[in-house]
Order: sequence, then structure tokens, then C-alpha cells
Amino acid sequence: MTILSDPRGTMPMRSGIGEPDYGTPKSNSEVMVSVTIDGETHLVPEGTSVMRAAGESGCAIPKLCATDSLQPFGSCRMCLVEIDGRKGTPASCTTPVEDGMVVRTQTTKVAKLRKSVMELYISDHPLDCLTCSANGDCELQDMAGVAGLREVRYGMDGKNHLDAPTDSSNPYFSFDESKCIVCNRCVRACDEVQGTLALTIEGRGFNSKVSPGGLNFLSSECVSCGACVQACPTATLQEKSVIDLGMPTRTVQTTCAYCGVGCSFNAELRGDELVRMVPTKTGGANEGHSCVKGRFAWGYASHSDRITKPMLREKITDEWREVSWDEAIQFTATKFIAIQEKYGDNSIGGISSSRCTNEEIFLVQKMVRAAFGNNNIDTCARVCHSPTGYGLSTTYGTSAGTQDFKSVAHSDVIVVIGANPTDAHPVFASRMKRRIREGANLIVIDPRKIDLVESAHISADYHLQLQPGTNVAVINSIAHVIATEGLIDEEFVAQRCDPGPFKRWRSFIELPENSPEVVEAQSGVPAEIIRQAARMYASGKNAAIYYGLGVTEHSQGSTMVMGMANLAMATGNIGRDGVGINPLRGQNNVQGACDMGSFPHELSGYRHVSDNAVREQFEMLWDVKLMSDPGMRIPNMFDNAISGEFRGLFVHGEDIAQSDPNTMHVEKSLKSMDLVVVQDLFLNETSKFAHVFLPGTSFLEKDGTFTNAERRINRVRPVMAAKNGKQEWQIICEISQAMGYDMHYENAAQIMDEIADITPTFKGVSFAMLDEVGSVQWPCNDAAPEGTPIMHVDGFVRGQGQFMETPFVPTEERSNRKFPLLLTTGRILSQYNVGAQTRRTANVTWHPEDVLEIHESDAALRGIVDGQKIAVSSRIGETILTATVSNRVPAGVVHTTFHYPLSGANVITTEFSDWATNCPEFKVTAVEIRPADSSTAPLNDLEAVLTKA
Amino acid sequence: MDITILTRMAHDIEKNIPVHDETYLRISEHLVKFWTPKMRSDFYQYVVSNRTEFGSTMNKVVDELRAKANA
Ligand code: SF4
Ligand code: SF4
Ligand code: SF4
Ligand code: FES
Repeated sequence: MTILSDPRGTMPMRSGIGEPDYGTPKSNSEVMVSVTIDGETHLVPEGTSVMRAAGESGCAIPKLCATDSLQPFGSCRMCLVEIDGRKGTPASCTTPVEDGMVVRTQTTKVAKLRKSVMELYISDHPLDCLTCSANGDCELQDMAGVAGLREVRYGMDGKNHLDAPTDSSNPYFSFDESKCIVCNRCVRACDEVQGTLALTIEGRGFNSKVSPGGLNFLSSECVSCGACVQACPTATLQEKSVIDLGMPTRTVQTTCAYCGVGCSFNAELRGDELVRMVPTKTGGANEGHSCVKGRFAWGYASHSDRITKPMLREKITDEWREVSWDEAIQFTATKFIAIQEKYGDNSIGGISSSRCTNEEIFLVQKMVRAAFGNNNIDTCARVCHSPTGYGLSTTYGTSAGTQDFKSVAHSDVIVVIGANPTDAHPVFASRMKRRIREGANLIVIDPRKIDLVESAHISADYHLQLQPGTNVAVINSIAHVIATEGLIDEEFVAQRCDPGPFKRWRSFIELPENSPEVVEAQSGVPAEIIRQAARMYASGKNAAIYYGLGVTEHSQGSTMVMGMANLAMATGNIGRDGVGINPLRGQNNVQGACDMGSFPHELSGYRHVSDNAVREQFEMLWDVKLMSDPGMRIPNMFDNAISGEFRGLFVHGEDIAQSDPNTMHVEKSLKSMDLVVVQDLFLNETSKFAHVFLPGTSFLEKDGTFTNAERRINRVRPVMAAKNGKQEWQIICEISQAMGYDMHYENAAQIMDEIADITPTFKGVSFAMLDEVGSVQWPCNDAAPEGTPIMHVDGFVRGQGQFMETPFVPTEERSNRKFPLLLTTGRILSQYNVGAQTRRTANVTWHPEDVLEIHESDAALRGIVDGQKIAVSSRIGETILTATVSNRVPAGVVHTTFHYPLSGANVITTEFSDWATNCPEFKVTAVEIRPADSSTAPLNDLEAVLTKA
Repeated sequence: MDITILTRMAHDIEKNIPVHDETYLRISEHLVKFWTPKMRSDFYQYVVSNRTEFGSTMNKVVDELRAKANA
């Protein structure tokens, strides 16, 4: 007897290249039952379908409407079997195994039935297999072979769908209705996997057909996640790249380089040409799902705008000239050294990027600390999640989210604060929506009515639509209700938390100033709604908080993170499945950038530079003396550049002139420097002020690792040769060497070995280990050799959890008579950050420009109509956007995205920042708007806008 | 670095760290942990010549940190 539980070796059916498809989802039951299939007896988990049990045992049963990412449906009748003691021929996909069951999958009777079913399908299907784009990857074709179909007795002349039209409206895939067998897999994929419910089966019987609603796919609710394309067993839903380039022939497994979900993909190639990206079912973060960015928007890697040769210029007004790598490296090193000789060791620094691999980031910070000889290294996480690091390390002892993504499946109450997962973290949002559809309660705290508040089959129980800038007041009032209504988990607090700080926090939070009734006046959220939401959070069995930049990018970002951490401790929602505090990281490797020691005050593993013992370890390993004081943060670098103390900057994969606040200030500081070195894929806003441009590598060329928002370390493997001829880590080594510090590695694996050697939480990580297990969540070391999906299970990393008092200090950025509206910023699904990548793909179809959402009453007051160009001004500057009149924002609040440089969203954001980390206050800017007229600077003349401001 | 920026940062820290016995320690720790030596020394100098601009806690922080730095 064999035990079948999670086999990987067999491959009964294809789904993409090389991924087995067992027809129905795996059962998680721990109870095992015995089943005899075609004479062999096996043990399988209770609840396993006969189809899956047979597939796992190596007896693949034919199927068409079943696939293991979807619940069984039982419509095609291809999977019929005979079961002893049962009448007829039940469908194996919808029949669960019972203990002692005896199944026969290959009898003459079922073979005949299957052949007849297949004959009916084929009689209404084009017979162009040899020229069809899916030839070789079509389950209908495979099943016709398996069923032994050689002829179609009914002929092809009857009523059929062979002339049905093709919908090519979606830029990435087409829908050829003539090939549809109405198996419903696409409809179910959209419902069950993606949760958008964009598709239906329209009509009945012969007239039934898949409908996206609206005119076509493009005009429908479809968000182009690709789940239906992946589920389709025929060429009906097919990637256009496959139609154009042909079926792929080989696969390289890698990781998406867009958001912090960190989805695993099979890059499928034909020769050296990338044909498609297919999400992998074994990917720990995504389990076979994807969004439009990772699935389809990879064409930028081969865009003609890519710069592949190094370039130099003496002055930023000169033309660029292409040079050899040697010349570029020597120029960079010589200039940096000359600046240091003239202005001192602290006059240069570097900024690393969360878009790069852990290995690249580790080397950039090493170059700054060892070759530059200072700690002036910062990362773009400064402008997004630095408050997460501060808040969670202060309260819990480590700078990371507490859960894995799977944990949300166990949540009874989900609180989403300042995040918009359906747009910014779509694959995780699909998991979350599944749990909400199953019955979990949802509380949304956000000034804007995000999709989760009201969408297909989802509706938030409470939407706390607070005024921008009042997060801390609201979280305090929720805690106030919990403390004053006896909802504190006293046992958890007594066992797990430091009693002194808890006592102090309790006295603070119970003060009347934190009551919902007082906070209503500050935040605009009705007191009763706050009370009800607080009771729901505290009394749910498992309550989890998920948050984004709407928490961190405030003047009290760090306070708010601590406020949420307090709440989870007070209610005992830490240390098990379904609970926790979970930052949704914006970029793919924000977590990794922070882990790798990219902040100026800490070395890898979040250890302060002043810790002598830690520093000595690094000094020994790197053979260099390190500085014990913190270096400059990004805003300090800018300020010091303007005052003349900071003269040279290495910018690694980051467009600071577009992404950082107060563009005028950033540009002034860049112009003040003697040397700006930009390493990137494309010339960007920052490179306008650069003297050296070093071409970088796209994620398809990189070799390394990314760490996602759940601390999962995933391999990034080179899919194609580096277009610039070098890996980025090699370039960093060469600059260091040219500056006199010997840095050398044979390959990226060696860099990870060094990281593991010197970073306790990474001790067990290596490329070999990741290649074997797929991915792992840190800490991964002797204490947790298989990694740590959930943190703080038996105790907090810092020992006892520390409550922190979180007084509400209103931001100084307030609306007034001159600037009566509050601008808040965000993202949309199809674009990513400053848009450097997504703007160079067909994703522009959905978002060709940034727009300003404005409430109808504010629009009416100013005579503004939908689609009108409007001037948006703050005390810092002015820009022009197109108005979208919308009820997503409340009166008094406007919202925009920052994906296009021409929008100049950061021309108007201010210098205010989080008190603890200097993370910019992107989410609150007082503005006024008016219809743009001839006196307004033209849209593409940023200089004019700046000068005018 | 422009002293107005440093003083604004210091005021932000002062406002956000609640006033009780440990306030002094938390502010000192914050400055030592996150500010460069140059930022600190420029700030100390400014506070010494403009004491009334700051509360008693920040004055104490600066006096103690200066004493430590000179020790
Ligand atoms: S489009 Fe594909 S998945 Fe959808 S019903 Fe038709 S054949 Fe099935
Ligand atoms: S691409 Fe995704 S959202 Fe669009 S119809 Fe298919 S499954 Fe639904
Ligand atoms: S959810 Fe994020 S990681 Fe996953 S495919 Fe989309 S952009 Fe990539
Ligand atoms: S695969 Fe079982 S009925 Fe279609």
C-alpha cells in the first residue's frame, strides 16, 4: 500500500510547462482513508477526489472541466469511472474517496463513454490543430488522443460555433469563441482564484457561451490577471505572445519584480526568446496566481529605450557620450575619491533600491561602508516603509510582518488600513477576498472608498472614512474602546508583555481625549462606527491587520505602526495563524533592502552600527575599519547637498527625482552635487542631473534573491543574458576595487553565502537550499532550519512585547482658506511606482495618465467637470492633472497617482515627514485646484512650473 | 545642514515622545541612534545659544549628550 499525500514526481496532466495537474484541489485532512484504484491500494487524505487519488497514484483519468486550482464542477463527463457497489459511472472529479472504495478507471464501458463525449466536443471544434497556437499544449487535443478518437461520425456540417468571432480587445490575450468547449473553467477561475467575477456563461444548451459582460474583455470588469487564460484547456483564451511567437519549449523559474507579494513564475522561452510568464503552483506566495503586471507586463525588459552602454558627461548640460565599462568605472572612482579628498570622507554616499536583489543591495551598502568609508547609505524604503521598521522593532523586536500570506485564510476579522490591496497587492488581495467571501468580517480604514469597500460579493462591515492625517487618533480611539469596555486579553498581556509599559499605555489610552466621541470631531468618523469596529476587532476569534503606505507615509507613520502593534497585543492577536500585523510592502524587495543593512544606522539583520561586537564581526570579515556612528538619511543627503557638505551620490535603481517629495528641493540638491552616478535600465528624471549613467539589468537578467512582504526569500534566476554585459553586483565590485577596496565574488551565490555567514536570521539560507526547497521565510537558522512562517509564536523577538504610548499630534500640513483641500496619493493596478517599467508596456491601455479624483461637490464649487485639465497647487508648487469627478473620495479630499513624470505629483508634496524616520508625508498635502488656463504652465514644462512656484 | 531643518526635526521628536520619566532617555537615544555626529553637534551648539526655543527636556538632553561627548 502506498501513502499519497503530496507527490511531486508524477505528472499526469500538463498545465503550463512541467506542472502536474491533479484535477481537483488537495485535501488538507489529517484523516487518511484507503482506496483501491485499478487493483492497487493507496492511503489518501479524507476528502480527496477519486480523480486526484488516481492521478497521484499514476493512473491519470481523462478530464476537461477539472483542474486542480478550482473546485470540481462535473460538467464534461470525460472523467467517468466505475466504483464497486455504485450504480452507473460517476464523475471522478466530484466523487470523494471513501474508506475501502474500489475504483476502476480504465474499463471498456468508461472508455466507450469517454470516446462518445469527446466525439461530441470535436464535432463542434475547428480541426486546425496543426496550425493552432495551442498545438502541443491543448488538453482537448490530448484528451482526444487519450480517448482514442479517430473519426467524428456526425461530420462537421451541422449547427456549430465554428464561425464565432474572436475578441482581441485585451492587449495581452485573445478569446477565440469558436474553440470554446464551455467547460466553465475560465468562469470559475475568475470567481474562485481571482475573485473578480467578470465572466459568466450566457444562454442555455447549444447557445451557452462565455461572456465577459459589456462589449468585450477590455470594456468588462476583467483586470487581466490571466487566471482564466491559464485555466482554459483549449486555445480559446490564449496569450497573444504565444500566438505570435509559438509554444515555448523550456522554462526558468523566477520571481516577479513588481510588488511585495513576490509571485513565483515560470518564464517560458522558445530558444532564447521569452514567450510568456506563467505563475507557478508551487510558489509559496502566489500558489499559481498572478496579476496583470507580473503575468504580462514584462516587455519593458526588451524595450528600445533600454540603455545598455555606460555613458559619461562632465557637466549635466553636456551631451551624454558612450564609453567603455573601464572608463566609466575609473571616472566614477576617481571623482568620488577626489571629492572625498577635498570635502572629507562624509561628503559622498549611496542610495540602494528595493527593485534590486538582496545580493546587489548587500554589496551597495558594503561598498558605501567599506570603500566609501562612511555610513551614508540609505534605501528607497526610507520613503515608504521605514516607519514599519521603527514601529515593529520598538514594540516586537524585529522589523517585519508577523504572518505568511496563507494566514489570512484563518482570519475571522480582517482590518485593512491605508492599503489598497486589489490595486497594489492584487494576488494577496485575491486570497483576502476569498476569505471574506467565506464569511470573514472586513473593516476598512481609509479616506478613500477603495474597491474592497464594495465590490463583487464583497462589502466591508465598516468603512472608517477618516480625514487624511488622523490615523493615530482613530487607532487610539479603537484601543480606548477595547480598554474601557473590558475587551483586553488580560491573560495574553500578562504572559507576553512588559507590565510597566502596558500599565502606562493603559492609563494613557483610557484618557477621555482618546474616546471615539472626541476623535469623531478630529477624524470625521462617527463615534458609534468606531465603537462597533473596535468591538468587532477585539471579539473576533482571529483578527488580523494589513496595512500599507497610507499608514507609514505620514508625519506620525511610526506612531501609527506602534498603535496597531499595541492593538494586536492588547487583544492577543499575535503568534498564530489568522492574526498579526502585516505591512504590505510596495516594491518587490523592500523587506530585503531593509534586511540587508541599507539603512544608515544598521548593518544587515537590523544591528546598530554602534554595537561593537557586531561591527567587529563585519570588520574582521571585510578586513576594514567601519564607522560606529549613523550616516545620513536620504533627506539629510539632500539638505547637506544644498548646504555644500554632501557632494557625490551613487543612486542604484531608483528615480529619486520623481519618487521623492518636493521635486524642486530634490532637483536643487542634485544640481548642487559634483558627481551623481545613476545605475538604471532607462534614462530617468534623476539621470537628467547625473554625470555617469551605468546601465543596469532587468529582473529577467538578474541572478539572486528577493524577499517579499511575508519575509519569503525567493530565487531570481537569469532568464536571458545581461543586455549590458555585466551583472550589477559585478559593477559594484569594480567601483569598490577602483576606489582601493578589494571586493570580489565568483558568482551571486557567494554573496548570499556571505550574507548568511554574517546575518543570524539568514544563517541557513543558500542558493542550493533555495533551489531545493523553493523558498524560505526568515528567520532561517539552526533554531528554525525550515524557516519561520509566523513570528512571535512563543514570545516576542525582543522578549516581552512593549506597549508604547501613541499621542495624536496633528500634522502641521492642514487645509486652510488658501489650500482648502487635502491631497492624498496612491497607486492603480496596471501601473507600478514611477511607471518606468509599466509605462513601457501595453499596461498604458488602462492608465494612460495620472488623474485627480475629486468629489462632485468640490468640483461643482469650482466649475470643474470630468476630464477637464486642472491646475493643482500647494504651498510648494503647482502641476496640472486631468479631473475625474468621483465619489471614491469624500468632499474636501482629492487623490492622485504618481506613475507619470509629467504629472509632477511630487512637485506639490511637501517637506514634512515622519518624526522618527523622516519618511515623507506623501499622504497629506493641502492644495487648491482650479481649471487650467493659458496662464498655467504647459503640462510638459516642468521647469516653467518649478520656476513659477 | 540648515539649522532650521534640524530644529524642526528636534521639535517633531519632542512633540511625539510622551512626557514622563523616560522622555529624556528616549530623546537622547533617538538622537544618538539616528542622527549623524555632525547633525548632533550643530544642533547642540544651536540649543546652547537659543535655550528658550526648547523645553526643559530637550535642554537636559543636549546638556547630557554634550557632557558625554566631551567626556
Ligand atoms: S474559454 Fe476556455 S476555459 Fe472558458 S469555457 Fe471556453 S474552453 Fe472552457
Ligand atoms: S483575466 Fe482574470 S479578471 Fe479577467 S476574466 Fe480572466 S480571470 Fe477574470
Ligand atoms: S501580485 Fe505583485 S508580485 Fe504578484 S504578479 Fe502581481 S505585481 Fe507581481
Ligand atoms: S473532469 Fe470530471 S466532469 Fe469534467
